[in-house]
Formats: sequence, structure tokens, C-alpha cells
Amino acid sequence: MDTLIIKQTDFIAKGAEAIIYRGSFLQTPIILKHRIPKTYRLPQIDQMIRLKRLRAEARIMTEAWKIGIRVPILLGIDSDNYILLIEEIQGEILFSLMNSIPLTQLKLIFEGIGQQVGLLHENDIIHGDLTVFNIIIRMEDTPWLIDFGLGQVSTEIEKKADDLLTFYSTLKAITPYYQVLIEVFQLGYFKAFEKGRKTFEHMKKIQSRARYIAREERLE
Amino acid sequence: MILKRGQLSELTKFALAAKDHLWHNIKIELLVVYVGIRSFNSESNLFDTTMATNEPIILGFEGTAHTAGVAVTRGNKIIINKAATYFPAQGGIHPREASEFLAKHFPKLLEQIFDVLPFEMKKIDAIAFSQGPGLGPCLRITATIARAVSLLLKKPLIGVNHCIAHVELGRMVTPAQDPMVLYVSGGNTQLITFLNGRYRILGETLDIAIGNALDTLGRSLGLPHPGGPYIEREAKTGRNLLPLPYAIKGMSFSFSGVVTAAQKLISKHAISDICYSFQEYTFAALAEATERGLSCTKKHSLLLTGGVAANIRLQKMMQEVASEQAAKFFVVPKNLAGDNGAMIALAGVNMFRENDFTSVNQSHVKPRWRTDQVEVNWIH
Repeated sequence: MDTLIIKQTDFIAKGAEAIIYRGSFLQTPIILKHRIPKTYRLPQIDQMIRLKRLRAEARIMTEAWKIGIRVPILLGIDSDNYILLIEEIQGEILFSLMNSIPLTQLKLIFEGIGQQVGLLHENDIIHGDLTVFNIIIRMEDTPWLIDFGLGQVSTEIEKKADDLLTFYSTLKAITPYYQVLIEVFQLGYFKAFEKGRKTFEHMKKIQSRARYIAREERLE
Repeated sequence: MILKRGQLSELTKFALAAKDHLWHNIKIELLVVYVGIRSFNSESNLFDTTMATNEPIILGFEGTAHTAGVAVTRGNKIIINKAATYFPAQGGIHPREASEFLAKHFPKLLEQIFDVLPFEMKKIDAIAFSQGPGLGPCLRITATIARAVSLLLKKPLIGVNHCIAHVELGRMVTPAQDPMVLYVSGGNTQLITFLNGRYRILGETLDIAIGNALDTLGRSLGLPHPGGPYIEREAKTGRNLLPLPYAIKGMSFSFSGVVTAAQKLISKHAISDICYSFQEYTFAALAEATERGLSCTKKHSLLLTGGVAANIRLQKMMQEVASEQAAKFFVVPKNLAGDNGAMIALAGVNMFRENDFTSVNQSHVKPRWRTDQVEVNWIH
């Protein structure tokens, strides 16, 4: 930790996996993400999972940044303490904006998200936990993707389709504009990702595997 | 109309006799519906709902898989709760055998109930039954019995979703308020919460239920059915953690791969170590998904329900998850954790208060009825 200069650190949020602190590093505002131990699971399992996710997040963020996707820049990694130092993206979490901004602006945002996700998938990067909780909106309508802890690099269409499915199902649970937003999302997604339609078709296939889906719905 | 015990058992016996002759359960259904519709000309004056009070008396039938449960509740109070559980002689649950078990035991349970019922049968306000999800043959038996009793007592039917009944039971017997629910049983594993008029599934098993996984592993290890409690007991003496997959996808989880991996360890390692490792890995995945759910939705209660909720190790993990996310932890009492009639009756109470009845011609069974397909109008 002595190589890192954190002038001021304060706690801003506690997620399911990590505690997030805000600070500054070389005069840039930063986020410090500390993956805390979980007492409910055995220490062996806990350390394995935390290390795996820390490494995945660092790797995926760097890869995504290299190909020009809007992700925060990774500034440092401390794998002994399960800490990441990340550039701070100043904006609002998309979830908290969902009910407060007009639909026209939401549509713009979702097309942008579609484009970013399409670009990720075009480059075989899987986000792993694509939800409205993991997207930050900066300057009113520019989406930034965060939290790549469950991310991976894969060419499998199944995993890409899974990303879409996670995104769609959380969206469906929280907004009445689901249909409209999905349409613009797809617009952006297909624009950035040539084989996007195939992923989308595959997502439907996964959906039909869900438990207790009536046969009529499976055929849709 | 005052009914005598004899009349009631005659009707159920008739349904059962019909079963022997007709072979297919579906035909009994049609027969009883037909008899019912013939005896009462129109649906509108079929049922007497004038007795509606705020403390309705509900007769509940649970029969989705291995348990035949009958219960009577008044308001939020359970008056009588009786059940009989089918244990397969070998292997897992055989749907036809399970349905035959239900057909045999429902009439007996009904007689037991009416023997000790502290008031007249006609005081019952409605008949609630598990309409789905579950094994088709079992659901049909349950629906048939419920329809027969409903037509006989001239009281309306209430078709209850089995999964939601587990949640409603938890909400009514514990102080949990608007909880995040982890429902773990032999047939289902779901992370459920109430959002915008429905119970939403935030995460669920992508293949088999946790209880099913425990039972399957138990059988491979030569443990008796149901495997869960035996695995729990073995796990207490396990000391070595063996490597197994940790299967979590967002807020969903899967267990069949973990079972296969654990089965490969058999004969190379002690049974206790396998059981211990299996519990630790699978429950940790459940705990993590639940923590994510709590963290995303900011709910203040966590409710553990379903048959596997009786597992002490799982309870302990969930307790810690709750305190980690500053939520209160509740678990249904052990005797109500598994499938039972009381949960169907209690869910029926809530639906009764909102006049959420099911007419006979809409009372067909729904083996694939999802938790999130039910309009929940009793939570405001």
C-alpha cells in the first residue's frame, strides 16, 4: 500500500461484493474498490473467489479500454489486499435515473448502451453482470460501463447471449418502458456488432430453456 | 345445508373409484366437473360467498409432488394442519406413484380433519388448492379433490401458486415485512421479491433445485431419501474442503454440474468430506446471489422458506448475509418449511380477502405456472 498515494479517502458505497471509497491519486479523483471477505463462506472458497474476480476485473477493464469502450481506466492493483484503484467516472448510476429522466433521453442512453455492449461482444468480451446498476451516465446521455468482476474473454455465443438476457430481465423488472428501450438498445447493438442478430436469436433460445415456461411461450 | 361426514367421503370415494375404472386421472377431472356443472345450473349461483368476513376460514389442499397436505386456517391462524408424505421405495419421486399416493391419502386426511374440526363444515368460506407448478398427475388429483369438496360445500375455489404460497406462509408466520425471499426446496430454488404488483424472480436455478441436487447426491452416496437431512448430518463431521465448481451467473445459480463433480469424488474421499464440501460450495452460491439481491433492491428483511430452509448451515449463512446488508433475517419454522396444506390455506386467505376466486372451468392444473405470472392484488 505504501506506493499508493491516497490523499483523502472516504467511504461512498457498499455493494454486495466490495466497499467503494472515493479518493485522489496523483491529483486525479479515483475510486478504490476493496473486495471484502465474506464471513458466510469458508475462507478458502472466499479467497479463491475474490482473487479470481479481482484479476478478471483488472484484465477485462484493460482489454475493454484498449479497444475504445467507455470504461474507467485501471490505475493500480493490490492482489494481497484485494484492492483495485480505478479512475472515477463522475456521473449517475443509470438505475437511479430510470424514473426521473424523460423517455426521449432514456432512448438516447439505451442506444448508446447498445453500441457499447455491441462493441464489447464484437471483441469477444463478456461483461458478466450487465445490469442498469453497472452503468454510469455521464454528461446526461453518455453511458460508461463499470464492474467487470464477473467478466471474461470468450467467443461463445452462449455467453454473449447471457449478457443480453441478464440485461433484459433486470430491465423488465424495473421499467414500464421495457419494450421501447429494448428496441433502441438493439438498434445500437446491431450497429456495433455485425453478428448481433444471431446473439439475439440465441438469447431467445436460452430464454425458452427457463423453468416452467409454458409450451406456447416457448414457440414464440 | 349441513353436510355429514359420510356424504363427503362418498364423493371422494366416487372420484377414486372412477380413477380405477378410467385409468387416466384427467378423466376424473372431467367427470367431477361434469357432475358439478350438471347439479348446479349456472356458475353464478353455484357458490355462496355471502359469509365473507375478514377472518375467513379456508380449507387448503397441497399436492404438487410428494406431500398430501390438508389444513384449515382462520384468518392468519392455522387451526389444523395434516400431511402425509410419499417416500419412494427406490430412486426419486415417480410421478404416477406419487399421484396414487395422494389419491389414497387425501380422503383419509380429510376425514381426520373433519373429526377434529371445532366447527361445522359449512363455516368454511373457500377451498384453496395448489394449482401449480408441480407434477401434472399429482396436481390433477389435488384439483379433483378440491373441486369435489368445493361443489359439495358450495364454496368457491381459490387456485394458489405453490411457490407464492411458500412466500405467503413466511410473511404470515414470521414478522418479515416486504422481504427478499430465498425459496429453497426439492422442486424449486428461487430468489423472489415483490416489485410492481408481482412477485419477481430475481434469480433462480438454471437447471435443478437445490433440494433435488441434495437428494441426487444423497442417493449416489447410498444415503436414504430425502438426502438433504442426511447430507447435513454427514457434513457436520467433514473437515477437508474438496474442490468443486462455484456456479453463479449474476443472481442465478446452477447445481447439476456441482452434483456431477461431487459424484466423481465418491470412493476417493470420505462421504463426510464430500457432503461438507458440497454444502459449502452450493450454499455459498445461494448466499452470494441473495446478498446481491438485497444489495440491489435495498430490502430490509430476508426470508428463508421451503424444505431446505430447515438446514442449519444454510440458515447460519443467510443470517450472516442479512447482517452484512443490514437486513433482518427470518426463517419459517421447521414444521412449516416443507410442503404443507397450511401455506396453501394462508395464501388462500389473502386471495379470499381480494375476492380472487377461481371458477371451476378455470381450475385446470398449471404444471408450469411461474411465480411471476401471478397478479398479486393482495399487496398494496
